[in-house]
Amino acid sequence: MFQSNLLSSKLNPTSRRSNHVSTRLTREGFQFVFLLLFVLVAAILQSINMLVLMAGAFSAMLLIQWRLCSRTLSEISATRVLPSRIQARRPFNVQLILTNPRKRLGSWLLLVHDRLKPSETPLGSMAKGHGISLIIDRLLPQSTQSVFYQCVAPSRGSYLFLDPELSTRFPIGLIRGFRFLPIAQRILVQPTQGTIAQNWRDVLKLPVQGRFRRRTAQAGGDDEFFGLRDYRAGDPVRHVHWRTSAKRGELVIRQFEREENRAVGVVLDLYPPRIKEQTEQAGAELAIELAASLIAKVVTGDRSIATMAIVSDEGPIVARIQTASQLNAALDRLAMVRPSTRSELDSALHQTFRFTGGRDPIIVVSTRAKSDFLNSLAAPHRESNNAFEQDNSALALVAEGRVVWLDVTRDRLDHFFTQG
Amino acid sequence: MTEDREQLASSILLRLNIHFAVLSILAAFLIGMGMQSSNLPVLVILVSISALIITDYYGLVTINRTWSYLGMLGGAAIALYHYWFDRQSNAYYGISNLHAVASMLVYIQLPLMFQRKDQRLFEHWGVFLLLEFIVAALLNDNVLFGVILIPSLVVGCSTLVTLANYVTHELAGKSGPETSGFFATFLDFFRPSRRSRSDNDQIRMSSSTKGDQSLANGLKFGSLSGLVLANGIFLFAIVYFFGLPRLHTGAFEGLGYSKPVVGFSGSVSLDDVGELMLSDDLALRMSIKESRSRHPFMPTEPPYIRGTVLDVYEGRGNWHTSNESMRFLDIPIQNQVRDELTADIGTHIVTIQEQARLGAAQFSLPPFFRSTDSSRLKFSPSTWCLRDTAFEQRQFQTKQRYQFVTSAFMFGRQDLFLADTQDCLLNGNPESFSNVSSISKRSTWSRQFDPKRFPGLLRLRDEILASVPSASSIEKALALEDFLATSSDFTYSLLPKVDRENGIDPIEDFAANHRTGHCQYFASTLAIMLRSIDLPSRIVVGFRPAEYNDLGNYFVVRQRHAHAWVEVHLGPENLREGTLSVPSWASTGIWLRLDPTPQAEGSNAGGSFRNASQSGQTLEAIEQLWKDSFMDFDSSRQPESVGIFGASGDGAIAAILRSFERLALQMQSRTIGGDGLSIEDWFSWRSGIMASCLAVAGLIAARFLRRIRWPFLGINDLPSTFDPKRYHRPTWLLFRRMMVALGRVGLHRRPHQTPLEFVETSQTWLGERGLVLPSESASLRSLVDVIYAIRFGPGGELSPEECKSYEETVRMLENFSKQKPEQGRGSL
Repeated sequence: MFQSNLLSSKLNPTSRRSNHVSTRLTREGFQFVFLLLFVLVAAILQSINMLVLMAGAFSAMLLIQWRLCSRTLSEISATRVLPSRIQARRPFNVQLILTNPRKRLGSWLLLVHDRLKPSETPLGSMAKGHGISLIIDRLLPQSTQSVFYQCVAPSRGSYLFLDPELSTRFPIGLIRGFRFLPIAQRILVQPTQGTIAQNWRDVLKLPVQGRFRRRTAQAGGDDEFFGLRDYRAGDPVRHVHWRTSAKRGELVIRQFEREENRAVGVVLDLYPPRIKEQTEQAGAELAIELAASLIAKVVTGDRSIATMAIVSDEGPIVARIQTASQLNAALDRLAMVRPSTRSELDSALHQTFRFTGGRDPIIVVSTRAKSDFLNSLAAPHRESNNAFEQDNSALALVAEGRVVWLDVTRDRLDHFFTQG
Repeated sequence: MTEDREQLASSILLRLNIHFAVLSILAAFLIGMGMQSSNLPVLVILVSISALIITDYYGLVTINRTWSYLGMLGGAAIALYHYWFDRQSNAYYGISNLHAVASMLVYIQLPLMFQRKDQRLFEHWGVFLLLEFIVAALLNDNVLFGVILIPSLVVGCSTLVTLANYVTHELAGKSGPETSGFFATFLDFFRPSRRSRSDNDQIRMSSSTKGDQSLANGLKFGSLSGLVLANGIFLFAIVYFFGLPRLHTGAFEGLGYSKPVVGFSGSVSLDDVGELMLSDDLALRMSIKESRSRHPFMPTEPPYIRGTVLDVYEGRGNWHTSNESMRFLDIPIQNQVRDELTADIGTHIVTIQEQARLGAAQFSLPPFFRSTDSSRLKFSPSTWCLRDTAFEQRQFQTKQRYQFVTSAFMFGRQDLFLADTQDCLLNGNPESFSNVSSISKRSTWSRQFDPKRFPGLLRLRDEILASVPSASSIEKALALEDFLATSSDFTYSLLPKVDRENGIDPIEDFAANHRTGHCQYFASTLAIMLRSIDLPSRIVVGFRPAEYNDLGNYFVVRQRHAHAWVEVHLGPENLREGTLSVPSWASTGIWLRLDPTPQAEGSNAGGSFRNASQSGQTLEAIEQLWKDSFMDFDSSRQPESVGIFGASGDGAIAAILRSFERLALQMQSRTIGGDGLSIEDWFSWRSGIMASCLAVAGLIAARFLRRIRWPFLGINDLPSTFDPKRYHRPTWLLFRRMMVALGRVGLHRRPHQTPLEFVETSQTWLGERGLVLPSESASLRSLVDVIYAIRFGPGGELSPEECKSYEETVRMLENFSKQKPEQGRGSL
């Protein structure tokens, strides 16, 4: 019962919770009330009938203002429409749709104040966010009005659109009525994707293996059937093999032969873990943007598969990215990634090799030099990674230069990458 | 900003300027009307139009704030100079003070018109305009003020609507970082982690459509909304006006039109009356109705309205009232008066409304008695004069409205006789009634006469009486009256331009040498002549209005209707002399009215009414309706409109109101609280400092009281154990316990936070400090959800099982708060 009540109160936009209108005297209102009290006291004590009449008129103004600005705000509901993907430093459009479900009373001079704040603001921060006020001149009964604005989030991460404040001073501005529309919304701002040059593979001298065939984007639909595999989240529905799925009782996906030789593994290594200096922080952000750009380029530009590994506090995170939804999820992960307190790049490399089967080239996007990494792998540490050594891949490849190492703090990136 | 938008913005600003200019002109017009001067309205019209064209439309001249303040100071200096100048020349400071305030308000708003306009300037201007309207209300009392108030209300509403539109438009499209106020920002500056705000500051929001359409529509809002609103406001104000309980009987009068009136105190000089009669100002309105039918009654001749009786002649033209005549008693009620005087067929109800401050003396048509049980007035049994005995006690004098029943009229004419009080009142009345009449009769004052000072007057008397050698006393009195009223030797003049001879009494000079004068000269001469033949006589000063309004059925009494006549006392031995039909029950004596003033231009002695034009009567009736319904509305009138309020109403409310009135009177007369509580001392610098100190102390106390806990009132006394059966609202109790526990660790909900936001933030904060609370069912957040569902939705209370699980959570929180109190103070 409790859950159903809760659900109904959340889903019903015209519940009384969202209808509560607060009223405050404006600055003009305070001056007006002060004069009203003066007039009223003088009128009553001195029996000055003209002042009684004026006090009556002043009181009527306040009463009418109070009732009108309270009533015109009640029952109005709102919806906020946001784009599906938001990148840092890229403007995005926000649409606020206001609906007046009342049958008779319209609303006038509405001011919508929408607010956005980083949701990772440490607890106790005094900052409330950034706001913008938008005016709607009138909202007729049983009608809808939209207002638009552009917003730019300065950096990746989680943000929170707070409940927008709907207010009005209509009609005479002595009292301001306001209420908060319960449409708070959390958004993830993905890292900005820069521009990767067409010849980026040549610039980075990626090893070419297997069959390579240049194809146009239009030819992509003619991929040759390769086999069947289990469904993974994000796979397109049109690739479901319905007959086999019906036989097995679970979804099965048709896999097509792709340009496997264009697949790339990207390992993001944000080290040192506690970045305090502004330049180091900028380096970390650059590394994240580069990794995001590379992955997006491989998946959407080259229509290939990217294997992404992130060195995080929970251990290395490795994922294979093939579809748009997988890419979106990966970028969301990059939106929230933080420098790791653990140096487990070796483990991440190891897992990436296992995912790619050693076929795909691996790019390490790091905030440190390759030599630093190699030096950090002291003997005891290496002994503890016997399995890795036995696999004989990652460390040897790094040492032999078979892994492309991009140190964003030192290497020149501008010949293949332009920041967004 | 597009060009269209700029054009629209300037249109709305210009429209707002026009509204304010029109409102300024209306306010100045009302003030000018109250001050009876056209200077201020003309000045404001010229300046407003100039500012509209030069500053607001073309933008040629704009003064900055400094110059504006200097201009305002200059305006105040000019007003103070006028005040000082008026004070030197005008003895009536009350008007002068108010005129100075009105002028100052008008002058200091003028520089504002040439400033660049913004919201703050409009606010200042608006305050000045409101103050001007308030002062105008004190200066005016005529119907024109009420009529002009209606368009002022429409323009005022329209101005406020336009201002609200302008302010909203100014706010629209603005974006910027938000903080929790000055102190929060200040504290936040010192936070080690304030670097986290840098992201925040870089969020950018912008709107390309900044409500252009709104501006276009906003232009239509002003006048239309103003008209609609003004109707509602007007109706409410009318209801409010008649419903607001009044503390006083007698309303404040506008200061602008009221002038001091002379002539009705206990002392009158001959010159005063002449000056009084040159004024055309209203003194009072009097309506007469027949007691039985309640139909308006108009006598065949203008009535003699009694004001003051003067029976002591000091010499040098000065008369005053004797001490015996200044004894006052309650007005008799109907059953205290002789039956012959109270029969319905011969009695009339008289209603008198003062239109100017006429002093303590009130006006009557004797013989009279009370129509209601309550009356604030007293009467002098020896002179039949009414008086407001509380007049001297009141700090602020107000106009009176009173009613009595009179038996002065018989067959459409006012009786010539006025019987002694002793004869009019029944036996068994208070002892005081019976003695005063005899005192009056025996009074030496009414016989006072010094023959050495009036040789010429006595010669004239002898000449007149020579024609009626064997006449009775009444016939002699009538002969003297007739001679003075008809003799061509005497000339009537309100301001006799004659130089009275020094060393000679003015009455002697009037009777013997310069026979030019007004009614009081004639009355004084006759009174002295009557006293010289041993007939007690006295002068009565009052009004004799010849102006009757047929539409409103009332007498219009102006100051020029002031009149003086003579009353001569006829004792029992004289009553049956002559042909006069004296009532048989008048056994102790009567006072016979004699009017020796000749009928002439400006004289009120005539027996006919003046014909007023129809339009004049209409305007006069409207003015009367306005004053009767609005200006003079007081507690005595309130029962007619709202029933339970007012001084004449019975019951607790009326008693409470009377108590308030007594208290107010005592405060005004400084009986209670000395100077500190006297209302006229409230608006002084001492009171200002005192009020400021009290306000600051009140604010500090309010903040302090909010912080302390009140366990003895049960507000913070929450039980530590929870028994669902004992409490009907267990969910609320859990919620309050949760809030108290959070408060104990210093977590308080901020104004911008919803309870849900607050609880989510708090739960994270607690988690960082090691208190892991349930995150799904029975979490703090879900408790708030339940509260929301109960409070705003169709949700119900928690079941006992659910209560127990939430109880666990809250108890964890409480234990934590007891271990680590006040950790989070100031951090949320």
